[in-house]
Amino acid sequence: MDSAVTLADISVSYGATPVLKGIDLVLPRGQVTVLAGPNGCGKSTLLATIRRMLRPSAGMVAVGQDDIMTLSERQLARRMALLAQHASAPDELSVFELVKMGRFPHQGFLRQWTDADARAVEAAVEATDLAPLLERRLDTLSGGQRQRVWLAMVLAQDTPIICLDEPINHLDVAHQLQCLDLVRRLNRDMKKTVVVVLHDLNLSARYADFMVLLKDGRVQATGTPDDLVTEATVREVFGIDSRVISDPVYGRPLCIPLSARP
Amino acid sequence: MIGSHRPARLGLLQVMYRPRALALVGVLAGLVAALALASVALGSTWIPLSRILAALVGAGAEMDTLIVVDFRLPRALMAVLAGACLGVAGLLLQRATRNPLASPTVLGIVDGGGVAVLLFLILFSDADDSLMVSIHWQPAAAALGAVVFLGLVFWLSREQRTAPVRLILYGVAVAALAKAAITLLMVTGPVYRASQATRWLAGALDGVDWMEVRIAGVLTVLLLGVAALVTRRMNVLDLDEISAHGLGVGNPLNRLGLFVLAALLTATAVSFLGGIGFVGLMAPHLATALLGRPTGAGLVGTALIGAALVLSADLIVRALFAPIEVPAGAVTALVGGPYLLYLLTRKGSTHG
Repeated sequence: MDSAVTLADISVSYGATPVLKGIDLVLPRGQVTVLAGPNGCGKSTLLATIRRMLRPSAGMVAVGQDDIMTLSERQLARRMALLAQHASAPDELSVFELVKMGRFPHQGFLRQWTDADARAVEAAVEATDLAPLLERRLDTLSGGQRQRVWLAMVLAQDTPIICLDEPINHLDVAHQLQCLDLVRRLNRDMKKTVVVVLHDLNLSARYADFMVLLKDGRVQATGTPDDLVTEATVREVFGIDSRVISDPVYGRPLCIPLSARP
Repeated sequence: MIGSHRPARLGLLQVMYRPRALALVGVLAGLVAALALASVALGSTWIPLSRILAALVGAGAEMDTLIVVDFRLPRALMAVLAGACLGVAGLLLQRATRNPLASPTVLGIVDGGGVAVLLFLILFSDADDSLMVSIHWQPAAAALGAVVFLGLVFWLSREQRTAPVRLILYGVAVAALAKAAITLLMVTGPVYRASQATRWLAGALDGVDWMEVRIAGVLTVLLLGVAALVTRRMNVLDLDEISAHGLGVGNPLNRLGLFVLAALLTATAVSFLGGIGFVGLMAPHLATALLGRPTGAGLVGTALIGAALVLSADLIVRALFAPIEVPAGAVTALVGGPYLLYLLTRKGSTHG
């Protein structure tokens, strides 16, 4: 398997509390990888470690062939973009001004705006369908629109790898689907490697090419959704009984959790 | 090309600009020039424009030349330099802390400079109340005080940089501490020194000489140049910490660098001018309202508006209170104090 990101024996602690314990993982290039698991399992921490926001107490993360510790901030930002879970920008910013910021790692004092910048921003705006909103201020947008702007910024960064930390948390169901459809389109049409933290097991199964299930800071299982989302694994990872069926529309596994007392 | 933005190329420099913002910056520059001219023309004797120009090119009457070149021009230039420094210092602080209330005055940095000036005057006086070192070291003392007090606020707020009100509270506490120290030093120190320090503390522009203008000018140009270089980085720091990290501006030293630059700019201004307050609070807000947030135009605009504010304050005190020399800082505080109150009472203003 061609690897976009490789983690070797990664351990991370917050103070004295270990959060990730000896993680070995290979994230496939050109695929949508979903990191999933119960609350507090360490999935957001894992994403933060991949993006070098946390320094692991042991182990190594490699992007392609390169240890991320050997890359400069700028080099890393040209290879891996990140959409934060609680991304926030000043209200006065326009849509265009925020999307344009995605170009920062490619610019310099003399090259503040090149043709490459214009092309990347244009492509990002087109992919996210933002052309009619370009001059709007951020505080006039709905939550769904705002998330699209952030995705466009990340896209304008023009990196082979995109990391998304719970991108659909505060969206209604229509916008959740819109967002994930967009993410998949980026993967299929623009060959982006996507690493995304998701809460919802069924949406994970629907959009993932490759899934990583975490529990208590350890990788519990990896594989395709078909391999992974089974009644046994759900019991093991989430501690609940469930029935897993094949969904009648997309043929992906669909988990129906069973109430503790029916 | 895209909406109000236009790409442009100047030799090796490739940029994006907004024609409207560029025009507004031009208007602001004109305003500052007009205020500076008015400042030179106005005083105990009115000197018309033609005689000012004659004096400037060395063809004026001897008296005109003395008044224009030796007395009034340094004063006007110092107002421009100090205003620009204070405005940009406020802008950097507001961005570094992601807090619209941050500014040299609110964070207690100006008062910190005051403590240092008093300590300087007292420590280096001999038994006869005369200074043992040159008075030209006073600006250096003020600068040191400003830097130390900003460092103190930064250290106190290191964990809570994103909680706007808390940061302001630290600033208020530090400023209160500085003011208490100032009072104590004034009461216990030599009387002559106290009156000398009072003028500095209130921020007065009279008695500025060319030597001071030259030093302040060099420092201002250098520091504003560095500010121009870090503007793009500062725009990215406007986002939340994690998004900024994703764009390659994750190192905490970036924010620290903005603090240090702001401290040096404040120090440059207050060391020569004294405690002119609230310019650093108001100038960035006005510039953002006029020119938008994330641009180089915002930086230039902030500097120009800061200059215009200090020039106006100085003009007002001279027009209303002459021949008594009321410090310009009194006017900026009269406007800036209520403005700060307005900001504090306004709702939903947490994201700088």
